[in-house]
Amino acid sequence: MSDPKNIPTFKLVLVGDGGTGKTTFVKRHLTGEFEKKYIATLGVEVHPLTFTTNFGTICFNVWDTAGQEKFGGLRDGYYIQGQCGIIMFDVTSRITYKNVPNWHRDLERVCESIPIVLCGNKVDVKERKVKTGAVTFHRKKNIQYFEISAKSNYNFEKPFLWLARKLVGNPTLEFAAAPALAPAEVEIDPALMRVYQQELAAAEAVPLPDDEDEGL
Amino acid sequence: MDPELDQITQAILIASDPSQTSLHAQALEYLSSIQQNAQMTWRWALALFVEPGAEGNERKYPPQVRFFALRVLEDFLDNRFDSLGSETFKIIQESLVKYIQSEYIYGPAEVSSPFLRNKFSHTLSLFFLRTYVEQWPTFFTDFFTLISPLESSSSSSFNPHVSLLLFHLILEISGEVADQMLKAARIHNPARHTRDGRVRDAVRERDAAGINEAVLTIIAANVEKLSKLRSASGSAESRKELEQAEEVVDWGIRTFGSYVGWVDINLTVTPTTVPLLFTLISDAALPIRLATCVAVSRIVSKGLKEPGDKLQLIKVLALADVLATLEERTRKEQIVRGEDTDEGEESYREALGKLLNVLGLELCKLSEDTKDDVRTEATRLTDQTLPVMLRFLADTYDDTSSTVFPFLSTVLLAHKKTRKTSAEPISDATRAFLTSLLEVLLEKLRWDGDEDPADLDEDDKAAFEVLRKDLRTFMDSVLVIDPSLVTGAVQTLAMNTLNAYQNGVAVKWNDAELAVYLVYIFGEINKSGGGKGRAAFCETPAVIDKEKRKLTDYSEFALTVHGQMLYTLVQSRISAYPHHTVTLQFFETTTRYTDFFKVRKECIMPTLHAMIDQRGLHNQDSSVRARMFYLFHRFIKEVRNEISLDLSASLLDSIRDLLSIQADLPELDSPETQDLLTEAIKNPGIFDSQIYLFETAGILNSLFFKDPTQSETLLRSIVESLMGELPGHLQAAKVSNDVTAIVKIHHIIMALGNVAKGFPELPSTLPEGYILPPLEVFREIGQAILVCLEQLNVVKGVRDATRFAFARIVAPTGSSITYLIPPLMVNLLVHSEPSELADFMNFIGLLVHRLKDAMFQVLDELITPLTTHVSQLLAQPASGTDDALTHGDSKKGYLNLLSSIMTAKLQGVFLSERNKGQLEGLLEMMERLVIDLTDPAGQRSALQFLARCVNVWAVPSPDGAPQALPGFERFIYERLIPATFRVLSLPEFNTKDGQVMMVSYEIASFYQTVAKARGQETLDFFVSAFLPSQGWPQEMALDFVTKLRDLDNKTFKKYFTDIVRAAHGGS
Repeated sequence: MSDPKNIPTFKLVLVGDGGTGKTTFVKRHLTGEFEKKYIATLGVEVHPLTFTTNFGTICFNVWDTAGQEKFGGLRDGYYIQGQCGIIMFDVTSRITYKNVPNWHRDLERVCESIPIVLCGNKVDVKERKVKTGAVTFHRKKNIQYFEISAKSNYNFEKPFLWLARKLVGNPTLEFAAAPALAPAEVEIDPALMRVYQQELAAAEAVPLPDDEDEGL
Repeated sequence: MDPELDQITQAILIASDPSQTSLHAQALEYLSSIQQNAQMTWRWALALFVEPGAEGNERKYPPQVRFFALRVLEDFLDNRFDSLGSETFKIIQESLVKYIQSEYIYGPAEVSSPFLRNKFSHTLSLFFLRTYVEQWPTFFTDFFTLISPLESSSSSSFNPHVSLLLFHLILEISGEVADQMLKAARIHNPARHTRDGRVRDAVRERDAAGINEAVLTIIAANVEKLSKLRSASGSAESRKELEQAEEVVDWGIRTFGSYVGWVDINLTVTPTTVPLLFTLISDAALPIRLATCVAVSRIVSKGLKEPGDKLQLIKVLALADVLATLEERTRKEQIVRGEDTDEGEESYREALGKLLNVLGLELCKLSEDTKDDVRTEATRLTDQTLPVMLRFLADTYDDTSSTVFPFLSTVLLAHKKTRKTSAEPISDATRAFLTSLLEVLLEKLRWDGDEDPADLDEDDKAAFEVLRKDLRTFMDSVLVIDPSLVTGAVQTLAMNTLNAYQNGVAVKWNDAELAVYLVYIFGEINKSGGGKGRAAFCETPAVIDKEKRKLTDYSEFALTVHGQMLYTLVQSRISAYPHHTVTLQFFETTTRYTDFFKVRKECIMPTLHAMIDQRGLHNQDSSVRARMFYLFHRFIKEVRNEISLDLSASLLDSIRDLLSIQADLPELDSPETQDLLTEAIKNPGIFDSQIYLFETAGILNSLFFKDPTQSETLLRSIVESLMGELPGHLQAAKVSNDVTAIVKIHHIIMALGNVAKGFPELPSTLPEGYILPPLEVFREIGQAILVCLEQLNVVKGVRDATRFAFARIVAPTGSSITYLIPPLMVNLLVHSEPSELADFMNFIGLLVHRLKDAMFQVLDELITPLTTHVSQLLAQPASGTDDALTHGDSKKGYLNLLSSIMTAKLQGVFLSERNKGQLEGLLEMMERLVIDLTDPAGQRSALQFLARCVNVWAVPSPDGAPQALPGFERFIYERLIPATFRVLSLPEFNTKDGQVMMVSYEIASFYQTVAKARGQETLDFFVSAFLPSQGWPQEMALDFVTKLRDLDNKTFKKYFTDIVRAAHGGS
């Protein structure tokens, strides 16, 4: 095993509204869960998530920030020195998607030009409120978007893989071994996911709605 | 020094220490109170942020403390729209100006903690928003004096730190007052809305020109600096300066782009800005290029009141020429890069494509303008951009290619409209464009030759499928404009490739796949071109009526274009191409167009050969095999009438080795919560597809119907080995509870059922000379399944499989296996779970439908316990959503069953000796369902059932004999009609809900059914008894019964529903 001191480590800031599943998501990674440092009951938890890649091991120190305002602790104070970010929203709750621009702006302000992934969580739930085609934020801001289901482990590694490639600066980076994940709590319907994937691809081709202009 | 400041500092240090101490929670709590009391604590915060250190330039407090201080200040300033007290204003203004001077002009500009810079620009923008309109109108003028080149300094350049601060500040302000996306993300607040409008107006009036000039001057100065630095030899020092200048230009352009949308266009588009932007759009630094693309597209898409002005703007920009040049340059660079991909450069091409798309869409909009001159000029300009658009469309990177999709589809839409209104032929220019477009589309439809679809992940495959679909919609549009152009191009490409392959020319796999794919989609493209059925593939003289069709020799008729393509496809032997994607596409295509094989029967054999050998069913790749099981089934089902008995027998022989059952046990994710057997049945692996092969075997077998002996021998040869396995598996299942054995039994039962499905259904009345299928074998199959069920009736999977199989076996056998039904019922029910009840009742409904009278006995015994059971179930409150679903399904299943019984005219079971005592209970349950507003679908089903009861039980017998159910009409008059009336007048009866209004229709129909059955008696009841009791005036009641009697059903329903709506106060 590689010497832990030599493992490239990146601070990842995980943000998004309360209840979107940030903590569930990060706890899927069992090693990270095992080694997490319990930093506060309320403010933030840091989970070291390691991944084996074809270029060696890398580690994300995931700062799982509290989404709920009243438990915010230092809030954007935790973003300081962040090297990459994940913004999470819940596809079963419109308001959490509506708030994404606020999270993005706060994150960009503190951590200028870091790679950011937008994640729509809970796609295992059949009663979606935010349809795949309605997610356009990432295209306006040129960030990456993934649909995930933390409970079923669906697409768990995708955000990390994308960030790792950006941070290492090598698009050929691959995860060599699947990380140990907690067992899925729900079954994901592959047919449904296929539909979402197709919708997502289809949505990418649709023009973005024009922002209203303010006139002269 | 204020002790509070030290205490806050301590708290923040404790709170941000990752190795938390015991005071952590306490520190957070304290900080939260500081935050919440920003009205009081802002002075401390201001001090914490600006307090200089002992050494002058350094700040006294650590960065994370100062960061927190800014947050407190923001809380103090944000979301309030009144003025600040003048003392407060003065204190903050002075502190901040002093801070900017000391830190950004003379100091290090927070070099060690860059995150403070952006945070501070936000705080400053909040202070600006609060004070600019009234308290600090000279905000920008004051700020500009800070930027001007220092007179004392030797260089004339602008201070980069202050420049960046200005840019970030303006960006933050634009974000606060003019960014639609951020606005949508905020909770709407009228006070804020007004404030933002006032700030925008004030900026436009006072400072827009000054801001714009400052921004552009700083950009220009740094551009100049850039060119000097780039040409100079790069020392470490100058590299750093270069980076800084690039950063300033990048942010400067972003800033410019942020206000283009909300300030006067005459400021932003000038003889100086246009050349500047076009220089920067091809700058050496990628971020600058990307930022410039965004800024230019904001200019192009800016809303202008006069379309003529917009056109003028576009002409001034001459963007099309610039984009043409840049497209060509980047395309050449892309070719030079080759395999050595560069994501950054591709994102630049993508940005250029987006820009062209924005320009194109604006031009298309102007091409529809009411003014002739605008329209003509805009159309001319649109046509000029088309070649560049095609270049972007042709990009191998799909992200870039798809940037121009909206523009392209708008252009095609305009052409389609013109085709509809004008009779003139298409112009040469248009045809030339469409021809080039088709070339690009056909090229883009091809797989990337370096990728094997088998290695791609699902997302990428799905993305390509969607891309193909999009490209096809463009082809469809072109087809509407010029059909022959598309069919010609597609045909030529497909035929050339196929012929080349046939002649031994080397063809790349993706070319081969594309050729087959084009044959596959041709039927869709050519929807209006060809006829239906066989006529799509050959030129039939006229409509041939059904009887003569069998006698017609279609081989005489010439093939259509699509027919020729399919003929060439089969004859080219492309099915032998050594690539799964090609072969599978071949089978998809042949299976889709089975009618072709009826007009060129010689093509059947080669296709079947390919299907059964290692290209298809015997392929070594199990995913190909799985798909082939289905495709082979489809093909055989469609062309079975063209298959000779010899061929059928040999086909059966060649699939015999594939008919053995495998049970794959899945790996469990969490063995402690999952049941292996349940999971194995839920995820059956390849058996899921293999099941089709058993049906196919049944179909091939059924072709021998004229020779019952041979038919029986063949059927035995298929099913006996399967049945022969059962005793061994049963033994293993019973003795050692062997999961594999149970799964195999489950699969075998389903397989046996599907063999039966391959046989034709027994007609309800047997025509003369009808030859029955091998009933004896089916009885044995039924018996074997029943034995398994008896042994394993505790296993839900076995019960499910048995219902599945019997539902199929009764189709070809009819009542011949009725004697198996009673023991079947007993064993299905003995361990039944609540969730199975619905499936069980659907199964009974199906048997009733198939077996009719033969089911009377079974139903007679079943209906009362079943009714009691369902009634009890529905009486219990559902404890959770799963429960509610089970309730709903059971109710639906029960109502469906009642409907099947009435359709099969088996209503006698309700009046039999055994059941007549329970009829009242059943009718009362229906009454409850009729008034249950939470389930409109259930209300309607119950009403429909009751209407059928009326038809059979309430009609007086013509010969004076007693009616089937004496006194039933009293139940109608005393219970049902009052109940339905009550329901309609409930306040919860929502007349705006379509589903609910359907209930009103159903009630109206029910009344008419009753009136029809009982005649004058019903009319009298309404007019003299019931309606008066409901307070209806005589006149209205009379009108009602007249309409009830005279109107047709549809008109009466409408009349009645209007009354209901009016009663609810709706219109």
